[in-house]
Amino acid sequence: MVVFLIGPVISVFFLSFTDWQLGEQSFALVGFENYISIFQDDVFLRSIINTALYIFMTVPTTLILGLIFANLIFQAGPMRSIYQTIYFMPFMATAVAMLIVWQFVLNPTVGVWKVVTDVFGVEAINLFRNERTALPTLAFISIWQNIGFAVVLFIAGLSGIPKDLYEAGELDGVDSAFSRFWRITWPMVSHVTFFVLIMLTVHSFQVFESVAVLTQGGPNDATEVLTYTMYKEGFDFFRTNIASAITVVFLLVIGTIMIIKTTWLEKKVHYS
Amino acid sequence: MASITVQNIRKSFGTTPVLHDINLEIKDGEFLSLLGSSGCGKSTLLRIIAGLERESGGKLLIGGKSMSNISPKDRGVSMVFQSYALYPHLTVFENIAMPLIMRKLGRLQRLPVVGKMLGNARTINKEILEKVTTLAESLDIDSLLDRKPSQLSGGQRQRVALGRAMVREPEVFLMDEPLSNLDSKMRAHMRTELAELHRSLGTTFVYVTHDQEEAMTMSDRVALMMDGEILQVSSPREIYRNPIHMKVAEFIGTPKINILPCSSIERGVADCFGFKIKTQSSAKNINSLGIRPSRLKAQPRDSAGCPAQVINVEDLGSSFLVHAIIADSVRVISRMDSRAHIPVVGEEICFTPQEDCGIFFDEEGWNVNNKSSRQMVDACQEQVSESADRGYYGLQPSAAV
Repeated sequence: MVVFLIGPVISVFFLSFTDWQLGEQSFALVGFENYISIFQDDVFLRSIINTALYIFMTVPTTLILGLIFANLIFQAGPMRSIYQTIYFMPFMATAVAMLIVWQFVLNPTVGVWKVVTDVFGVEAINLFRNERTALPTLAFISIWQNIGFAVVLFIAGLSGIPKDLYEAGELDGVDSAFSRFWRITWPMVSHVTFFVLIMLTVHSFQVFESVAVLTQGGPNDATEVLTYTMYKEGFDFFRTNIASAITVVFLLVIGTIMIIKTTWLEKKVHYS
Repeated sequence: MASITVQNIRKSFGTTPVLHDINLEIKDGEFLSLLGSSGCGKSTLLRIIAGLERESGGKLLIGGKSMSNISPKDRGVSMVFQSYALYPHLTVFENIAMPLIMRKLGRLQRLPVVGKMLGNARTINKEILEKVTTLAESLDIDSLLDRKPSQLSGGQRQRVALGRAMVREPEVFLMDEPLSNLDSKMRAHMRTELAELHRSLGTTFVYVTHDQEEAMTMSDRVALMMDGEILQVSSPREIYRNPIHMKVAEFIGTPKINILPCSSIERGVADCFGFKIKTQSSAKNINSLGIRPSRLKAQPRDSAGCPAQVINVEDLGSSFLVHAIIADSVRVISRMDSRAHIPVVGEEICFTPQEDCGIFFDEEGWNVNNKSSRQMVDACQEQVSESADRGYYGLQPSAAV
């Protein structure tokens, strides 16, 4: 744990206060200079906004669709495990391979996207090369990929709800589909919802593969996200000090989410 | 309050029949227990009455009204589940108030925050608060109203479940083994409370249990079910003393009734291992004799009776159970008073079935004496209370029949 977890974190933390760049023989302590410079850097600020937008686009949608699909699949009877597997497959598959497939599917000249736009008689734009569509497209792919994860966890949560509760509900008057969901199902899967919410947020915060494979942060920084900026600073520009400062910011945000998870929200969520 | 009429109710799950042509009339205000071992269909019948299960055939009337296509909430029934089925995310107050919230408040009035301002929601909420509080006080759970079910003991949960069932003043209470999750002390306590509750409410109770003690102590009548059929519906006293079939006799009573092979030798007399016993019946097709352990007297070897050898003796404190084997083939149990002389393991003794207390069955297991056995039972009771015989191996007269 010290070698693989705590050690690297401490060294990153230390490096973020130096001017060391990859390959240099010496370094000097520079205090908060790296932090001041990144918060004055437009690309970094843009990457923070983009990451937040990406989370905002992916997490609620994945959560809601996951819950809806889980409810439908849960009632599917014997076909349940087949549907469950189908939904879970994108989550299990190799991310980069799937992304390359999406690149072909959404290709404006040879992809399925071209076929679809032809049907509607509109011009197929390059979704990854358009400032307005690039980030939403990546978000869409993420939703497609992660919905299975949400579905599987929600189904586990749904199967844990005792049948008796719905029967007691039927006698008490909780018998419409909406009231059943609102008064029994939803509160009874609140702990799963919370867990899925945290996991999806962290997962979206770590978005990297799709940006690296499909857009490389472009066009015009429209898909520049925190992890990609970090990667570029560290391994393209070899500014290890700046990359470390970004990493520290990244870790602080993840840490905060985890603290919220373990302290505040967990108390409010019902665990049966 | 309402009566329940079950007419030719059938139920199958797929191709497996669970209930065969059930007919049952439950009177208004009656406490009826559906008694039977697990898998006999008693819970299914209760769930059909509740509307949670749909019958495959037949008719169900509650308060004279047909219940086909009537949803569970509109049947005027409340149910207490074996698991209590309390909503774990709601407080005790919210659990008890749920049936009222869903019935009295409109769809919009149930909305959080805004709902309270709509129409007369405030008045209704106040009524609900008052009603739940009063009920909680009567059930002695008023101090628990803010707690969640997970913070309650088994007995407290049971009361909350009862409160939720009582709050909307149903016409019929349905209970599905509500005491089976409690420890034995609490179970005995709640048994008394339920019986008192029934007396005070005067509502129809249908109570499902596999525990004959619960059924016998609380019910006005017991319906004994086996393999999807009702074998007998009688008062606890009647079902114990005058079982219609050997299966009923074997199910009711602890320890189990002794069944001894016997045959009719002349009118009114049967032979059981060489012992002649009066049958009080002219029936000739007698095949076996059922005799309760407390009615099988253990006597010295040279007495008249069936010769037996003691194989085990159990001390229950107030009485002893003597296990013995007759003619190397039939195992029997005799319950003896603790103050009597108790035989030891291996001792050769003689068992004498007490006159007039035997139940005779034909080859198919039916009670040959069913119609007249009522008189026989009464005679038996009289004889027991008058008897002061505490001689060798004598029985305590006050021991249960």
